[in-house]
Amino acid sequence: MQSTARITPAESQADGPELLRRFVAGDGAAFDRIVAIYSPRVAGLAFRLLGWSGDLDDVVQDVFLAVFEQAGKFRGGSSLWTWITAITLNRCRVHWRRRRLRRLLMLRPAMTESARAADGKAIEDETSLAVRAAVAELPSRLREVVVLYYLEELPVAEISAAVGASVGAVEVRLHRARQKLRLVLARLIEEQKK
Amino acid sequence: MKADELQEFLHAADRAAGCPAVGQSIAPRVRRRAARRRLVRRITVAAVVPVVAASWLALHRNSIEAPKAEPVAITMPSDSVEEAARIAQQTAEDILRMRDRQAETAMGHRGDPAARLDRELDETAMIFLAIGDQRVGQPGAAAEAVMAYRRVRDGFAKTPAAAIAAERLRQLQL
Repeated sequence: MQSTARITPAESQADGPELLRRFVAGDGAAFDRIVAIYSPRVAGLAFRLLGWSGDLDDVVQDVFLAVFEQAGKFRGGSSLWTWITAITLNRCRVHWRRRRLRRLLMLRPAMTESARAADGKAIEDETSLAVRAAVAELPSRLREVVVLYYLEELPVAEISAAVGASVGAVEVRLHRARQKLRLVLARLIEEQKK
Repeated sequence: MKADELQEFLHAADRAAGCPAVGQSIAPRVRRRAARRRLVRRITVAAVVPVVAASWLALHRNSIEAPKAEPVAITMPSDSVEEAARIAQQTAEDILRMRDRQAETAMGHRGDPAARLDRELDETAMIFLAIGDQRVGQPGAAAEAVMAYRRVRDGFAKTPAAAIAAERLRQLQL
């Protein structure tokens, strides 16, 4: 991951709200710092939400474009990362829908995990491919909570703020996602046990 | 499958996918896109607002009603009354002349000039009397009616209409 500005050791995501405040006040350089601090996480999150594939440049740009244009709307009710996560989720939903539409219209052949493996760019073991394929096949709502809970390791309360649902709804989605993944991955687990 | 196992599978799969790579210069590109969007928004607003306004006006033109005018009492000025009387008199004279010519043609000889003058006076006086009667029934035109009656009473004193006009004037003054 390459960023647009070097991050000094003292800088961290804890500086985000202050940087956003400075940007809203007219400090253009503060936006560069925000991008430098958060773009690796945004890229990682988008990469996972889009099924470990996709046009990340477009998504990351879209996310920071929204941050650029809506910075004044951030009220500080949640952490800055939760706010950016919500924006990333929205942008990924849009890209996911577009990708699905393209596939339906046969405008662009789907780049399957197996195809990616075959082209030599990502030679991985079968289990990893199957797990990622199983997550990618989940409905958007379930895939989002799986990525945020298991891979981003966010607490349920923050997930609920990011996806705009109650804590109970997030827990229900997590439960359903686990059930679906268990069904798909049961065979793999059995093979591993043997 | 336990939750821990699932988490382990997911982390392993995620690690195997590698780190995502995004292009450089995100912030400058975002700024350029934001500037373009602002420009497009302005152009769109500049183009759409007149169209919407014109459409709105076209849609609502039929429903816009002209303000209702308050009823206004129109009174004819005295000069106009004089002119109307003159025209009426002229018309009456023309009619009488035409009738006379027709009668003379029918009879084959010219009638008595004095009798013809009396008849013309009678008919002219009746026309003025009719004008007065018409005015007296209109709101705010009483003065014009009085003027017409006086014209009959004073100008055509020897005609039967003069007595009627005098009676009307008496009633109005009462």
